[in-house]
Amino acid sequence: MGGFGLFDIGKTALLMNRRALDTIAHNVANSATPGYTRQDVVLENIPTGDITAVGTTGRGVRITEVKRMYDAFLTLQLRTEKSNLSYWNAYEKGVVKIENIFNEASDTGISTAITDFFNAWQEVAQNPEGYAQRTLLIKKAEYMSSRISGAYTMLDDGRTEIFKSSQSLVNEVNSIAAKIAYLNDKIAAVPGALDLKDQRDLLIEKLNEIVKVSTFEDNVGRYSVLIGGTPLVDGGKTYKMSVTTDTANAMHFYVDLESEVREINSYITGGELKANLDLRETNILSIMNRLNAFAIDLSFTVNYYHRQGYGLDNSTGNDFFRQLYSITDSSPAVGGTVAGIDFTNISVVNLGKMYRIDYNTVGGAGYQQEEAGATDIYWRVQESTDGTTWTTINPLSVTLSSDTSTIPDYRTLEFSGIKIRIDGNQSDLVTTVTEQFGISFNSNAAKYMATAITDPQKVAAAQTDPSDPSGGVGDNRNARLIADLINQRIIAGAIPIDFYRSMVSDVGVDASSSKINMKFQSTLVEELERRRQEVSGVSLDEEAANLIKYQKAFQASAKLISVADELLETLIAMTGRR
Amino acid sequence: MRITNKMFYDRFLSDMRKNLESIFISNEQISTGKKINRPSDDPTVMSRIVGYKTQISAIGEYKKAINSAKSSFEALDSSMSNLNSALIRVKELALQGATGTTDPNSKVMISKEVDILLKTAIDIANTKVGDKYIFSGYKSNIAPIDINTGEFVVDANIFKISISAGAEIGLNMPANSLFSFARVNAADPSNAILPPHNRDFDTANDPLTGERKTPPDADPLSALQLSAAVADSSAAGFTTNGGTLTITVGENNTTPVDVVIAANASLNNIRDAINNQPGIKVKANIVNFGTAGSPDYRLIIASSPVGQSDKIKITVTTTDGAGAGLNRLAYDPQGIQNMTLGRDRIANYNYITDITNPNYYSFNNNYLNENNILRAIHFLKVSLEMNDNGRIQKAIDYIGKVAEKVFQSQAEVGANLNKLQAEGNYQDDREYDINTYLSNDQDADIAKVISEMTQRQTVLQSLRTISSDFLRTSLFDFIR
Repeated sequence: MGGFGLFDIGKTALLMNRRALDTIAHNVANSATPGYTRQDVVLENIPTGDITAVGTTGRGVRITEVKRMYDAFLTLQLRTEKSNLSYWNAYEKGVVKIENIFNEASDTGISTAITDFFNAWQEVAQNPEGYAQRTLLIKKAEYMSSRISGAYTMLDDGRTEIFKSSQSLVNEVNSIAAKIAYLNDKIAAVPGALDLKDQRDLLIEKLNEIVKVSTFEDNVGRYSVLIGGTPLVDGGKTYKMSVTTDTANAMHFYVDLESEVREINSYITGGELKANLDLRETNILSIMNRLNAFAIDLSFTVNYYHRQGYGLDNSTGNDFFRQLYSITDSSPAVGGTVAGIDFTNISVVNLGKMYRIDYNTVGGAGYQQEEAGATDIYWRVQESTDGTTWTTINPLSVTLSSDTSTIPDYRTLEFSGIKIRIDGNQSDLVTTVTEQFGISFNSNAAKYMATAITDPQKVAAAQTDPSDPSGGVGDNRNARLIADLINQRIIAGAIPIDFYRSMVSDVGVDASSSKINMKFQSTLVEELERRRQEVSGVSLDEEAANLIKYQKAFQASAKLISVADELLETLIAMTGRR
Repeated sequence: MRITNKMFYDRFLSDMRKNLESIFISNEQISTGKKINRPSDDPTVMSRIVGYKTQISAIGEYKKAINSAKSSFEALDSSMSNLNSALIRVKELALQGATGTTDPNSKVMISKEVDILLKTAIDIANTKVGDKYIFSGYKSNIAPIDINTGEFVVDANIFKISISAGAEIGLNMPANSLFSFARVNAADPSNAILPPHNRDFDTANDPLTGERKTPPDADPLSALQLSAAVADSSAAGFTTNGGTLTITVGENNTTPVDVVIAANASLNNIRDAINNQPGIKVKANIVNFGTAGSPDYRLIIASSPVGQSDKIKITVTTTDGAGAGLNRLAYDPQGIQNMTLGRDRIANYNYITDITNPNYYSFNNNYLNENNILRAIHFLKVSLEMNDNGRIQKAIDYIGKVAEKVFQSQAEVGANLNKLQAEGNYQDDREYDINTYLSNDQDADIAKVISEMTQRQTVLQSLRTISSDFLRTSLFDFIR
């Protein structure tokens, strides 16, 4: 090695230390940038200088790489957990909204409206002649109906909101996917583009918060992004995601794969979209169904009793609530009558369906025989969605039981989560030979719950006609009967308040558990974030120390050059004197 | 472990958030006073709270019912008291009337007071509380007793309300259990409740006689009646030989008027003869007491002007057989009484004179029982008017029995009032208990919350101080 070797070594030292200082500056500058991964220069001494008998001398220093201080496993874990956190975050927000609708901690909850309604009947029972009590009853019934329909409307609006939010999230997914594809191409072209990788990681993290995705990297460093196996980004290519609602107002997500448009509802397993899906299609829907069941059962039962009573104006047969169901009877005057509708399993009830029940005395395919009694009666249940094509429900899935010990006889038919009670003596049914009952529901029953009576006189508090010798305006038996319904299992096998209570309780449990999950998840994410920061984060103290280190090294390298200069000067001066 | 700046920031932020959150929750608990502010705060407790609130609301309703029941029973109670004092007075009067020294005129005077007490009893039966007749059935807007006939005109349903889960109480006391009864057949005069007012005199003319059915003295009980009935009033031969009726009215014997009756005259002929006789002070009528199918025509002779029928004197001069023909029309208040005063005809009471008859004290004969105050008083009134000491004695027994029944009913009302009081107290206790449970479940322990909050604030304060001191400096501050 010649005398200029020192220059060379000094030069590499100057350049490399400068590069190191640049990296420190970049780190300091990005110490607060989200998603930024600390970079570090890896220095290496350049070997193979002079080889002498006592050893070799080096040729200086060089940078082998600028490293991203990055833990791939931690990043993956963090991505997954952030996706979960985002799910719980959105879910919790959703259920808290539902919870607020059913907030019974205040003194104006729906339960108060329900008990007030029955109390108002009690008041009428105490004072059946009083107009004030009757008017109050109608007002209380209107208030209760409006609370229930209000709650239902709020839930319905909630579903619409969720759909809108899903739409904008899907737009965001598409835009993020496009950005990832763009970065994929860039990264493939420039392999050392560390900061682009940081940006891409950040985008994937964001995407994960919206919808849980899996990624894998190809040999040129491009990411493929998949939603449960369905590609969203494939290298530089993106597939468009979309969301729509079907005729039953259920939300569906699709990815357009060119070869097919694939429905991916079942592949969405995390992130805000999953929360939206769960809230909209499971959680809110189940509460809406329960409100529907409440509205239908309550109005059916109250109406059933109310029709049998008499008002002050001697009127009878009036409905108290608006009919949320329609019941037809092919021969209303004879045979049987539909005396009860109850829901045995709300989760399988489909209010959009119509049912048709008929009986005859000879049986046939799809009919089953009624137990007991002197004569045979055969029952059949059919269902339809449009009212024109009817399919017979398999008798095995229709539970028929009868009771001949009461007057009149009755039998119950249980199918599709619905229980229908038909009153009528067997002998009358046999005489009628055949009869058909049609049953259909308002699929938004709770929304349309309202009182049908406006005239206080028509409130049927009496059991017999007041103009009858044995009756009178003081007859309160029917009012007492209806007031007592608060203690009867009239709503899906439960008493009204208990039915409502279990609903509130379920909403509460859901909200409470989602809050706990949310807290747990956010602690977990914080912890992981901390661990990532431990690896990838910028410590200003550390950078300051490094700054001093490289500054000193830079200063020393400069000194080396000046020393080499002096050495040369010495040599040149010596030659010049000759 | 490598510590970076962001770790400090993040930790500081999350700790501060946690502290602020718990302070926020404490703050909410203090401002609302409740530890459960939404279902998710504790779903099971929330469900209990809804249950408690429902119970409290039901108790409130029961308490209302108890109060309104109380006011009804208080009204019944005071009605009973009034009725009782009226009956005591009736009994006093009965005893006074039963005394042998009381002359018939005084008995009539006493009967007038009894009549007033009868009206009082009817008034009591028609007591109204608010809009309701408490002695009515479901027809609570209609007075239970017809003030003219004394008949029970409404239904006998008991108006019940619930005063607790499963317990009910009847608020009214239909008057048929105490005052009167509903006639089986309103057209049948034989089971009339207060007969004087109850005869079926309509304003239409009698189709057979062409006369108005209503006699001049509308009270047949005080008019003279032919006690023997005739199936056809126009059939000739009521009298065989005819004769003269000498009729006077009043004690001072107004100028006697002779009415000559032709031989073989019918009842209608006799009526016409009397009515056509100039100067006559009576008016004769024929009334069918029976039905069209089995007619029962009777001659009714009432004073004109009305009010002195009991002072009519009819002396008969005839050759008809004794007790037959015209002789059947003889009447002297102090002597022969072949005709009777209408009020003697109280056979409807099924009055039993034989003391050995097992039914003598029975009140079940023809509704003369302890459930029939009005008739009992009326019975006394008529007995007094009739100056019939035997019946007055029996009336005293009846009144005694009736008063006993009223005492019993009053005791029942009192017992019900006690029951209501007890039920009310029980509901109050339950309300208190449930309110306590509710408070335990729902109300925040303010002292505890405040102390927790203070603790949190201290932590937050120190967190802020330390963090701001620490985060402010780094090694860069020391590079020169």
